[in-house]
Amino acid sequence: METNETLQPTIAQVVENVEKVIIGKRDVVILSIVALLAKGHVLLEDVPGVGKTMLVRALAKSVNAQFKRIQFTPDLLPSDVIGVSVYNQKEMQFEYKPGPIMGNIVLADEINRTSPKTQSALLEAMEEGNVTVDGVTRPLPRPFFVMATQNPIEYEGTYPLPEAQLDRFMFKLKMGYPSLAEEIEMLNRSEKVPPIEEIQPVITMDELLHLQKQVADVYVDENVKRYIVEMVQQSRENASIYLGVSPRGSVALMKAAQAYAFVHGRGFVIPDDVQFLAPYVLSHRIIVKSEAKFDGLTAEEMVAQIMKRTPVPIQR
Amino acid sequence: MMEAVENIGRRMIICGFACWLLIEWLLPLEAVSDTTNAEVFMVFVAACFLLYLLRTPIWISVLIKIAYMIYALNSLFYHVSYVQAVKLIFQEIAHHAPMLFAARWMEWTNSFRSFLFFFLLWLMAYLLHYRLFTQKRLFLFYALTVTYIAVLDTFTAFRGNGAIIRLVVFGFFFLSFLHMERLREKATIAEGIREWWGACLCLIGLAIACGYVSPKLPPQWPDPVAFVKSYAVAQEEKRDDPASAKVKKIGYGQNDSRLGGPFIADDTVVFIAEDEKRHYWRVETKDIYTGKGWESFQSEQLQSFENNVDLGYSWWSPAVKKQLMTASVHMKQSYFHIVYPYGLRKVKAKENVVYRMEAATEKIYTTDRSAYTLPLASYDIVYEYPTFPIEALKAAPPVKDAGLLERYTQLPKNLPERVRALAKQIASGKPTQYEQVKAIEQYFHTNGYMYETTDVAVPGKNEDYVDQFLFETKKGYCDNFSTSMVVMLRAIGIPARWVKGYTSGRLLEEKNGKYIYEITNNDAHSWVEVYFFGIGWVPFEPTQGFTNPYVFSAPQSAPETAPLPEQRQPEQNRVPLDKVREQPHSAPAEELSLPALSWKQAAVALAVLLAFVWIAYRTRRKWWPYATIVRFQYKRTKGDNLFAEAYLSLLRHLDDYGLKRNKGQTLRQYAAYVDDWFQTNEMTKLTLLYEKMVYQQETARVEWTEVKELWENLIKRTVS
Repeated sequence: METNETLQPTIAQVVENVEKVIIGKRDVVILSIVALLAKGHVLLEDVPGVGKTMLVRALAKSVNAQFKRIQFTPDLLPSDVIGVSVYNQKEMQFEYKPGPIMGNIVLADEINRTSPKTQSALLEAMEEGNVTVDGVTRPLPRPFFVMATQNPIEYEGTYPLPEAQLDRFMFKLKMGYPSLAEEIEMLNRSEKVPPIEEIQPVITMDELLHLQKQVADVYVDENVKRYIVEMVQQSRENASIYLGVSPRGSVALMKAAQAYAFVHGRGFVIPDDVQFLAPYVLSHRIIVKSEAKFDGLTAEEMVAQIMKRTPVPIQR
Repeated sequence: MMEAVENIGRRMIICGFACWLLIEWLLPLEAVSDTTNAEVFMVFVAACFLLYLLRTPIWISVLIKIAYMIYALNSLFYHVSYVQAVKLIFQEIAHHAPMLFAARWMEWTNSFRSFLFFFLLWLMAYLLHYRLFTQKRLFLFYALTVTYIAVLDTFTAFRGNGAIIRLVVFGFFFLSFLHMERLREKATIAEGIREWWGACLCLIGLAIACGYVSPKLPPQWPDPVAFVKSYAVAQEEKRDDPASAKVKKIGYGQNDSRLGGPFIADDTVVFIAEDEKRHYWRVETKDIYTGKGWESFQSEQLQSFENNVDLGYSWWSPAVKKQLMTASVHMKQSYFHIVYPYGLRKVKAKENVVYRMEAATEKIYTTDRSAYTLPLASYDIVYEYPTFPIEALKAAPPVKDAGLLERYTQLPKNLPERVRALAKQIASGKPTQYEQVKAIEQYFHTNGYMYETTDVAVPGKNEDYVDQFLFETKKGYCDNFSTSMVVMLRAIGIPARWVKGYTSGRLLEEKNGKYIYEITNNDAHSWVEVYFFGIGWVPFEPTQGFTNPYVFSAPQSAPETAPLPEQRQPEQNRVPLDKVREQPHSAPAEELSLPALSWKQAAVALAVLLAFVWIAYRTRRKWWPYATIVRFQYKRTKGDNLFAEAYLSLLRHLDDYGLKRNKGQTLRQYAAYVDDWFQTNEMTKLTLLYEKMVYQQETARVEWTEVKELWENLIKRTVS
């Protein structure tokens, strides 16, 4: 956070609650909440053991949501995710057995380990908000929030998510290792009972849904919208970028900015919100040209460059 | 890519300037030496620099240059086939090379000289190129060029005005450009270049404007050439006669502050006159004798009169008989003044000219409407030829006018006493002023004074010019005689002045009752005017061998009654000069010089304005913030917008202060930066309020009075 803006009180409670488990990762926590509020999904990319699962579980518990976890393996089938119709001999009819996706907060662990077929089944569900089994469309529960993780280290036998799939995640985040003090604190807390067992819900699901509605009411001024679009368009025109950000990206950026402004108790979006979120929203939607890659340019750097070049609106 | 283009641009500028500088050396050649076809060499120089610019491989550039030399030499001198030309050049080199070492330079042919000159230019171009591209220095060569032009301008017929202006403008620009290049080499300074261009051009522009507007005085020192030459002559002559250091005097000159020395005959025709009478041609009078020569009474007063309009200047009282005459003058030399006879009434020229008579010297300048000098090629004159009645002159009482006496009986304090004594001696026993004047005029004819133009002395440091002539040398020309007479007259209290001009010249022919005279520099002359009360200034001629062309009529034709009434009403017949002196601000003169002044004033005003704007711009941080505060103090329109305007204006001030906001920086980030700089939190406070105005749906009402203090504090911080 660039400015020490205070958080919206309800959100502050949630953050505080999650931080009992996740130490020193406020940005990630807040971004996760932002995604949850903006009805987006998050892709966490990091090495194992930095607390990805813990974050999701803590978040789910704080908002009193149903938590489901899918461990993606190469042999996982789409039906293992979205559920399957089983013939009930007693009833003499097919009966839908919901898959693990039928939860409020779903952790899709190591998503890149499964086959593209299964991946796309998940992502379709994420995008459309419902699943179709045997021709019957069933809505997913509300709220529905997927946090997928992938391990950037072991690429052997993985199916990297194609660009079209990455686009469906609002953010791509990295946890990173905790600092020394933070890690010691982590040890302290885990000494007796794992802290995850101890945390209590702070808001109800209904409250969460209400918050989501409120987020949609956050005002985005014309000039800020223009600012977002200008940034996105620059990513399409940049000579070092092979594939720029899609319009879905600009929508995601705006929605995230609304949620972010709401999280900070503001009824309107300011360019600072956009700037803070842009790296998380845009980086994974950009494919940097190989030449530029050889020059050491990464997508994050490209986004930073674009931000520097796009004039911030300072007047109505 | 940009880099490369810029690089080429810089190289082009450097090459262009170096080439121009070298060509500047070649330009005067045709004027000062017997060199012709200088453009051939200029093309060669240009080619040399073009080849350097293009970075042609050395063997190609050498081939091109040699080919050009052969081509040029052949088309200038040989006019044969190129193969033969090469042969001839080789032969010449073989033949002339030994002379080079035997110092027999005078025997060289022009073709060989040209050949060597080409080599010299080649060498110069190479050296210039080397200094410019490796050392980026050129001041020495630039200074040499300026000196070269200045020396040529002073000592030769070459007029270096244009060259000097070019040197100042381009030279200064180029020098600062090179300075910038050196800085660029030392450290990469990409910023500030634009400011440098601006400042440099402004400064040069200002210098030109000042130079253009400021008045151009005529040379303040006598032409040094004559002095240097005479010094050289004096050195030679000292061997024979150490006492005779001399100043040469050629024709009609402006400067009479040091008289003496030999008079060199110069039969250049100055003008041709068609006239009805023989008379002297006046140019000016001088009235301050310094002991060494004459100087003019310092006065700015001018009397203007129009073309073909009567002067309205009365030369003499009605006691003097006048005869209306006409004459035409055709100038062969260009002067800014006219030559005119006594009793001038009208001047008529084709040009739209205004005549301005210097009241102090009676010198008449010709100018155009905007007071710029305008030399006339020919003009017609109407004048009154005077006949001075001797009886009236005799009857004239001694002059009493104190101002007139003070001015026209001025003598240097260190005038030797024997001059006064001699004057008294000559005048003694003569009852009237006229007789005293006549006696002194005649004195030179009978006492062994000789007209001499070559063996004329220059007074030494402690010698008086008149004293030396009267008592020691007794040899001299008009200046000696006339000056001596004036001084002697003054010594006995008779107002007299020294007049310069021309004699009537040589009569060429008579045509339709008009005489045609040719007046050359040899006819430059000086004589004496004496003031007679009730009559005016009367010319006298003391110089041996010259006769006064004016008629002094014998008493029988002039009854005594004529002049006497005039004496009773002297006020009406006061000397015109006095009248002029009593009316120091003659209206027409002022009116006519007004346009010229106003033009210059406008230019000066513009320059001052520019300077003011420049200073205001440079010191803006001292006053601009306060100006903004005052501006918003009295701005009471549209409450919300006022804050927005004020905030944006604050941003401009901060930017000018040096706290630049990147365009990708949000207001909060910038505010944090500003607050960090000033160690406050005012900017953030203000920014949070402003944010609401810009990004919120319903624009928040911000009370201007609430934020005014914050805003003012911040604005004041930008004062530096």
